[in-house]
Amino acid sequence: MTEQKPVQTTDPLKALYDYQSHTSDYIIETTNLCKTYEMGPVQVHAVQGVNLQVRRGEFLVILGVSGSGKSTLLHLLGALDQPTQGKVYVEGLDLSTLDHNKLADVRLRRVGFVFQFFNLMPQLTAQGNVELPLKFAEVPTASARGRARELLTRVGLGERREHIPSELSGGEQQRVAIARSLANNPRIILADEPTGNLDTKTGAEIIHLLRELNQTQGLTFVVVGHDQRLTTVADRVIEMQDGAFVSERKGGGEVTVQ
Amino acid sequence: MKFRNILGLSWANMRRRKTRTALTTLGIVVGIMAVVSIAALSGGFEAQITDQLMQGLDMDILTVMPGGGILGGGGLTSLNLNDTALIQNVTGVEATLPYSQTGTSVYNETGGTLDTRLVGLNFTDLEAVYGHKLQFAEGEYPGIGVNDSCMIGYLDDPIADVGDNITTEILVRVGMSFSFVNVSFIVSGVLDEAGQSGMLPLDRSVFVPLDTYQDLFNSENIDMILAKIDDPTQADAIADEIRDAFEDQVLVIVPSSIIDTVMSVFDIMEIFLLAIASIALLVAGISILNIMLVSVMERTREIGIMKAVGAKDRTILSQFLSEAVLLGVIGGAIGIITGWGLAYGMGLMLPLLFSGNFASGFTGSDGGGFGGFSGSSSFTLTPVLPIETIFIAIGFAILISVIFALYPARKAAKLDPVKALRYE
Ligand SMILES: Nc1ncnc2c1ncn2[C@@H]1O[C@H](COP(=O)(O)OP(=O)(O)OP(=O)(O)O)[C@@H](O)[C@H]1O
Ligand SMILES: [Mg+2]
Repeated sequence: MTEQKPVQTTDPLKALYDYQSHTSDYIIETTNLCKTYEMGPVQVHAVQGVNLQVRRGEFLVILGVSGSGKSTLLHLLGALDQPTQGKVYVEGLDLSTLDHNKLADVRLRRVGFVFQFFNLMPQLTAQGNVELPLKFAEVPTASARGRARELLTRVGLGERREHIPSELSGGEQQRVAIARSLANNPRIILADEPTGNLDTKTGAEIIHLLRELNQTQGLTFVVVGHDQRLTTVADRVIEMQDGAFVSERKGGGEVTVQ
Repeated sequence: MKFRNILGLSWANMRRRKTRTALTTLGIVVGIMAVVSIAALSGGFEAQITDQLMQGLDMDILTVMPGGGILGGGGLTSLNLNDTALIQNVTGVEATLPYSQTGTSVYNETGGTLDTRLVGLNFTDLEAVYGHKLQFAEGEYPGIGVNDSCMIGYLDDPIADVGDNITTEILVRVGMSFSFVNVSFIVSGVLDEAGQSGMLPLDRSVFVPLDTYQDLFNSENIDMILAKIDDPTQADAIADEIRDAFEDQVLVIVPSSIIDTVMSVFDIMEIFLLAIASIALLVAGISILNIMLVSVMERTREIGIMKAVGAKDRTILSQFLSEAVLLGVIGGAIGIITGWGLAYGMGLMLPLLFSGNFASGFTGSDGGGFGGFSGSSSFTLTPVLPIETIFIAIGFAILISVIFALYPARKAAKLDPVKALRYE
């Protein structure tokens, strides 16, 4: 693996980070994080009182049954959703202080999302999907093209760049999604059941790829899901139930998965 | 995101739903086609009519009539021969032709009759103003001081030859009573066809000396004075000077003002037709609104994805607006081409459809009337589409598309990313 090429665009958050990042040792931190949905008279506490600290370069896995609030938490960490209470700090930056555009910049440059259902743009090729966040970041066309090609090669899809998602297998689509999440060189990858829609073997390959990126690039991973194999590669495993953390243990910490 | 990339993504999106894109574009195409073809046809029509009027009206002849005054009040009620001197004094006026006329019937010796107009004028004045248009089929001007001679304008079927007598019956006022009087003239000359000649029709008229005319009607008055000017481009200024000379108590008609008046009528008609055609564009706009709303709904998940990977609201907004711009440009371009084609086709068809009544209706019964089409066979309509109209049409197409895409695009931009991602 070669070292990632730095992307040459100005990060509007840079100044904010430089000012604030020394305030925290953790790459992600939350304090009393809550997300409550009002369903008429009923309140659904999707996330309640979560205090989380994620270390730089950590591979964290959050397990929990369906409806326990894993996705909601991940969306809050990734600036995709706003909490009803509590705070999220990403690389020391308090997300509650950011406006709409700045939050979009956090998603663009500071975190990468990987989803269960891949969430690729159906009309774009693998190459086009990986280029998309680069275009949002106004990376010059030629460098965007080169960067996307390099990332697709890194996830093992060098030969399938010109295929649209419907022409790719689930595993291949998830590889494209991983390549896309890496586009603007974020230090954090948030993965929501990345193996949930894949067969056992392909799922193992994807977990392996994530762990490899974590090990070689020093990327921080927060992966949520049911897949027990995630715990074998995880540095740390947190169990979630009804929107709150109920247990925490050390993960298997293995570099590969069977 | 760079504009080029936004356009690229829009193009990909539009290609994805080819039929729908084509149908949405069709709305714009039809609207622009209607507007462009109407503009091109009426442009052609205007050019045609201006051309005809320019031929029919002598641009170097001003017409001075009694009247004028302020707000229609006042003004001279009549002109007389002395007034020509005032006009003649204005710089730029080369010659004047005072005349009076009346509608009448003329009989020849064998009982043939002709409904015509009797014009009283001095033949030297006529020669000075219209000399270049006049040619004798036979004979010559009545001699100076000869009171019982006349000259006949061109007739398809001549009523008399030189030397013949013609009789006309005129209504004359004597004291308090009116009576019909028969007057006979010897034909001293018959003119060749002079064609259109503005206010004073040369063809089909019977000309007698002004003295004779004034004696007959027992009046010193003259109806109008034509003024030939040396420079048609100075017509308005010379007309002003003439009005000044009469203290604004006369009407001075400048030929180009007649064209302006006719054109303003056409402009009103054109605006009216364009307003109707724009309804087609409005309908196209509403269909864009409708289809874009469906499209936003269908692409909810994609919008969620774009936001999840870092798209800003304005990126999504410009994404949808740029699709609208593309629709407008493509629809507008096709609309202009087809609109031109339609106008051209109709320009070819119109003369066939109207060759009977249309052209002859314009030609009028007296061949000398101004502004008539010179003949049904020569009537063709070439559409005229100025470059400004093309730009306006494209601009309009884009404007309509963008206006109606604004609401759906805003809706897309404001979507909550989490909800959008969960959308099935
Ligand atoms: N928009 C919403 N309105 C109301 N309730 C919601 C909304 N989104 C999520 N919830 C509720 O919040 C809780 C947590 O949902 P979440 O999707 O985070 O669970 P999860 O752990 O990711 O489940 P899964 O494993 O099925 O993906 C659930 O009870 C869900 O019904
Ligand atoms: Mg979930």
